[in-house]
Amino acid sequence: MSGKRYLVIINQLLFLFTAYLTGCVEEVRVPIRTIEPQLVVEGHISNDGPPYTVRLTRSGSFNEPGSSESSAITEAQVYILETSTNQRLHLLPVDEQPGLYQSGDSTFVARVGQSYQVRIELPEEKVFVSEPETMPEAVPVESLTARFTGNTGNVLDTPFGYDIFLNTQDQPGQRNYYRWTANSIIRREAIGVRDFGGVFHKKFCWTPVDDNEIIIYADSYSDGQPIREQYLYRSPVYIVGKHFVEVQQYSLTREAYQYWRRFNEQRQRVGTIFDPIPSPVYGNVYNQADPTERALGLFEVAGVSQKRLVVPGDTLNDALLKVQTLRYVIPGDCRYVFYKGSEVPPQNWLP
Amino acid sequence: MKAKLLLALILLLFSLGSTWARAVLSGTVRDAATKQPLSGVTVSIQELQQGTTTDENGQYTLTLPLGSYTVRFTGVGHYKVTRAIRLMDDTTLDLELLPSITELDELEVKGRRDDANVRSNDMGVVRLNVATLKKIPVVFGETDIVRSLMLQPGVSNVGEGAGGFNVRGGRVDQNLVLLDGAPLFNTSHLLGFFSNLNPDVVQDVTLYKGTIPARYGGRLSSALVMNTRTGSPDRWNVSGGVGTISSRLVVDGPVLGNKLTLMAGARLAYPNLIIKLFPDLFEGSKASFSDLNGKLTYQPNDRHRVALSAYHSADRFKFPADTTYGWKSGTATLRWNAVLSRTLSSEVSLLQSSYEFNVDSPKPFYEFSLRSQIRQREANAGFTFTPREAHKLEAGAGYIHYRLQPGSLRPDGAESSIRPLSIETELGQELSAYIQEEWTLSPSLTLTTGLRYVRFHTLGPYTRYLYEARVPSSPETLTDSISYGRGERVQSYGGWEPRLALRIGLGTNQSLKLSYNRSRQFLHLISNTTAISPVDFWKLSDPFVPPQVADQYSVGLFRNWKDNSIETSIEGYYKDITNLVEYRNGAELLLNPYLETALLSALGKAYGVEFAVNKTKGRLTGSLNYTYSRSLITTRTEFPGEAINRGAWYPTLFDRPHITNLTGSYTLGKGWTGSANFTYTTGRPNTYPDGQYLVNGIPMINYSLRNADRLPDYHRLDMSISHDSRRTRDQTRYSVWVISLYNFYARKNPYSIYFQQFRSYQLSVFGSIIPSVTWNFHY
Repeated sequence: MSGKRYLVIINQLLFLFTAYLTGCVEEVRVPIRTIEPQLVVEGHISNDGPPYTVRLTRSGSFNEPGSSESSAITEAQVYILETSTNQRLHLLPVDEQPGLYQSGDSTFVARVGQSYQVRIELPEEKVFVSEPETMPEAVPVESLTARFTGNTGNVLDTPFGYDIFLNTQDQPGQRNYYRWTANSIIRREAIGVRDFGGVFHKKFCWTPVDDNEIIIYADSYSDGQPIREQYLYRSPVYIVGKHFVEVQQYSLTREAYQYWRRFNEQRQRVGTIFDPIPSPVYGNVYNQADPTERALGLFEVAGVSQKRLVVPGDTLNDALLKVQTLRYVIPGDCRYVFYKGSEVPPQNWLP
Repeated sequence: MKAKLLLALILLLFSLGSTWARAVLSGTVRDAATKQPLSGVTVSIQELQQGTTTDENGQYTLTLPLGSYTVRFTGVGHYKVTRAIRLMDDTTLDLELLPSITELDELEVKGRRDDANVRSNDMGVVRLNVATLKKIPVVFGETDIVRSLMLQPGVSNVGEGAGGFNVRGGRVDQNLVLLDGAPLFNTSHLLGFFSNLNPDVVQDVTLYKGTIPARYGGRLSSALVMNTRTGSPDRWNVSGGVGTISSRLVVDGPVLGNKLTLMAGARLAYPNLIIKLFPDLFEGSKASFSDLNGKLTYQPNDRHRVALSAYHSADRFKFPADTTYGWKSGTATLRWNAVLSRTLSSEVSLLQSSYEFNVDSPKPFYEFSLRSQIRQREANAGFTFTPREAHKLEAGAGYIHYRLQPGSLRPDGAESSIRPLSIETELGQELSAYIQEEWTLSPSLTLTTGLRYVRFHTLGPYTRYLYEARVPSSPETLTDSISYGRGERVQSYGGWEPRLALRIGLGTNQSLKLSYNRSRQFLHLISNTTAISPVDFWKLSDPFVPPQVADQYSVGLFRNWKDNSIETSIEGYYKDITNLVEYRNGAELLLNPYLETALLSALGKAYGVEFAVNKTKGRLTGSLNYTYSRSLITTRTEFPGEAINRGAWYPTLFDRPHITNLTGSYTLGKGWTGSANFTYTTGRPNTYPDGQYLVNGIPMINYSLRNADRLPDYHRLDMSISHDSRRTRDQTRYSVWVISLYNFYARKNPYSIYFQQFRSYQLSVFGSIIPSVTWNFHY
C-alpha cells in the first residue's frame, strides 16, 4: 500500500469512466524516437550462498520488441566487491547464456550486515558501479496457505490454481522492505509414449513452474504488525496432484524497494491523465566517470529466507477438472514435453 | 513593522487630499432588475475623456472641474445609460442599469466603455459576462466559468477533463482563485470534468493574467476574482436550471425590510443516472457532487454594507467493494464595505477557506482512512482614495494564517494492520501591505505604480531533518533533526513586489502599454501527474522549499477601429520563475515524512505573443485570438544523476505553442441566438517510449526523455442555439432554452496516448458529438 495506490485505483476507474463517455480507445501509430542503447544490469546477491549472478544487456529500439534479447554484453569484466572487507569476487561469463556472469569462487559467501557493490568494466572502457548497499537481515516467513480458485483472467491457460498466501510478522522498530518470489513443482499429464502392446507410458510427470511478477511490500504504514493474507502466486492446476511450493522472502534495501515500486508503477499505466508521469526506471548503477549516465535495472543486495508448503491437492473433483483441462494434455513423453519433467516427485520437500 | 507601514500609508492618504475649483461626483450603480450593486461599470465623462469604474459596492467617485458634462455608464451585460449633469457642487448620481437582452438591442459583451481597452491602464485582463456564458455551447449543457476562460488568449489546460487552468505558461496552483475574496484550493468536480462554481450565483468574473493589482498576491500567474450576487432588496426571485448532469436553484430576496437580503444557491448533480446505464462497467459505483452558496447582506444605508457569504462544495466517488474518495471545499467571508467620505472608501474582510480530501479503503486486514487538509484564515483591510481625477490611490494590509495537514492515516477497525501515521502539521503566516497609485499624467499618459511587501514565516511545531552533505538526501542520509516549539519561527521569506504599468496614448484610438510585475508564492501544490488530481496535497514553504518567485514583463499595442466596434490588440510577455517545485523520477509524495527528499528545485520560463480581434457591436459579435507561447522548465540540483532530462530545458506539460480560438454569436431575432466556438491547440507534450529492455524476464518500456514528444493537435467546433422568452427589458419572469452540440464534427481528440505490450493506443474523451438541452428559468 503506497500513496500511489490510490491514484492507480482512481485512475483505472477514471479510465472506465472516460472510456464510457466516448467508447473511444483506438490503436494509433505515433512517431517513435530511438535513443542510444542503454546498459541494463540485473544483478543479485543474497545470503543464500553462491553462485551470484549479474546479467548485462543493452536496451533495444521500441519498434523492434525482442531486439534487446539479442544485445547481450559478453565482453565485460564484472566484479562484486564486499566493500566492508575489501574482498573482490570476479564473475565469469556463462557460455550457454550470453550476457550472464556468474561467480566461480564457492568459498565467497555473502553475509547479512556486509556491504556490497558491483563493478562493471564495459568493452568500450566505461566503468559502471553501484552504490554500496548493506545486506539487510532476513525475516522468517511464518506460514503459507493455499486456496483453490477457479477463475482467472488468463484465458490462454488453465483457469484453475492454488492461490498461495503468506503470513509473516513484521519486525517492529525498523523499516522493512519485502519482495517475494515463489515457484512450485506440479503434476502434469501428457498423452505419453505407446509401447508395442498399445499401452501409453510416461504419461505423468512433475515439472517446475514459476512466474516473474514483482510482489513487494513496505511496512511504512504497518510497522511491527502481522502481514496477513499477502497474495504471492498462483500455482496452476491441470490435473489432480500435490503441489510442492517454495517461497523466498527477500529483505530489500530501501533503494531496491523503491526501484521495484517505480518499476511496477511504470507498468501500471492505463492511459489517463492521472497516470504517473512516464519516466525511466533507473536503479543504483551509474557510470563512475559521469554519474548523469545511469544504467537501467538494478544490483539487488538482499537478505533471504525460505518457506515451503505441500498442497495435498486431493480434495479436487478429478472428473470435473479433467473435462476443462483436457486441452492441456499434450502429445509426447511427459518428461520431455514439459520443462525439466521428472517421474519422481520431490523428496524431503518439507525440512 | 507591519503596523508602522500601515500608519505611514494612512498618513500619506490624508496628506494628498486638496481641492480647488473642483467638485466630487459620486454614486452607486445597481442592476435595475435585482437592485444589486454592479461592480466594474465604467463611468466616463465624454467631454474630458476621463473615467473610472465602480468598485465591488457599485460605488464610484470622480473629482472634476466644475462644469457641464455628459456621463456615460457602461456595464457588462447591461444597457448603456447616458446622463447630462451640471456639476456646481459635490453631487451624488445613483443609477440603475437594465440588463441587456440580445434581441431588443445590441449586446454589450465587453462591459467597459467602448474604448476602454485603449484608454484604461489594464493589460491582460479578461472580464466574463456570466449572462452570456449560458448561451455558449458547452459539454452536457453545464455552463462552466473555468471552461469558458479557455476561450481567452493565454488560458489553457492539459486536456479535456483536466481540473484547473494554466495561465501564460503557469501551473494550476499559480492561480489565485478568489470567491468573495476567499481563495479556492480546488476548482473541480468529478475529477476535473466540471468546475465547482455555480454560474447562477456568480455576478462578475475578472481574470488578471498580466499585471495583477497590488492588492492581490501569493500566486505567480494570475488572479481570478469572482463575486457572488447579492440578494434583491425589492422582491423574491427564484431562478434555476435543469440539465443532463445537474440542476441548479437560486433564490434571493429581502429578509427584514429591505436592509437585509439573502441569496442562496444550490447545485446538485446526478451522474449516477448515467452510471446506472452501464451496469457492467460500474456495478455498485456511485458518484455525486454538489455545491451550495449563500450570502447575507446588510445594508443600512448607501455608505455601509456588511456581507456574510459562504460556500461549500463536496464530491464523492465510490467504487464497488473498494475505495471511497471524497473531497470538499468551503469558504466563509465577512466583508464590510464603507464609504468614509466622497473620496475615501474602505473594505475590511475576515475570511476562511478550506479544502480536504478523504480516502477510505475497506481492504481486509488493511482497512484505513486517509485525510489531508488545508485551511487558510485571513484578515485584510484596504482603502481607496481618489483625491482628484488624476490620482487614484489604493492601500491596505493583510494577515494570513495557514494550517496544513498533508496526510494522516488511521486504521479502520481493530483487525487492521495499518498503524496510525500523521505527517507533521504545517503552520505558517503571511503578512502583507501594499500601496498602489494610478496617476494620469496627461490624457495620453497613465502610470500605475504599485508596491507590495510580503513576509512569510514557517511556524513551529516543526521538525527539521538534517541530511548528510554532498550526497543526495534520502531517509538513509538523515543525520539529525532539530525540533521547533509551538509558534517558533522556523524560516522567514519575503520581500518587495513591484507592480508597474504605463500607458502611452498614440492618438485617440491607439495606445501602447508596458508592465512589469513580481510575485511570490509560499504555497505549493504537490502533484506528480499530468493533470492535478483530487488527492494532490498542498505544502507550505519551509527551510527546504523556498517560495516560488516570478517576474513578468509585458508589452501591448491596442487599437480600435470603426467607432470602437472592432478592438484589436497584440500583447507579448516574458516570465522568469525561480524555485519551482519538481519531483525526482518516480518520487513518492503522499504520506512521505521526508518529502523534501523527493523534491527538486527548478527554474521556469514562459513567453508568448497574443493577438486578439473582438467585434463588440452589432447582430454578430465575436472574437478571434491566436497565441504563440512556450513554457519551459529545467531542474537544478548539485547531484547531476538526479536531474530530469540530464538538466536540460524541457517543455512543461502545458506547453502548447499554437492556440487559436474563434467565438461568434449571431442574434437571429424573436429571442433566438446562435453561437459557435472553434478552438485549435497544439497537442500537449507527452513522453513516448524510446527503448525497451527486459528485467526479470519482464519486457519494460523505457521513457528516457520527459516531454520530448507531443500528442496530435486538438481542435473542436461547438454550436448552440438558445431562446430567451423575454419580450421587454424589465421582464422578470422568463426562461432560456439552450440546445448545444459539443464537438460538432465528432473529432476524436487525443486525451492521452499510452503504450501496452509494444502497441500504442489513443484515448479520446468526448470523442463523439455530445448534444444537450438545458432549461434555465427566472421567476
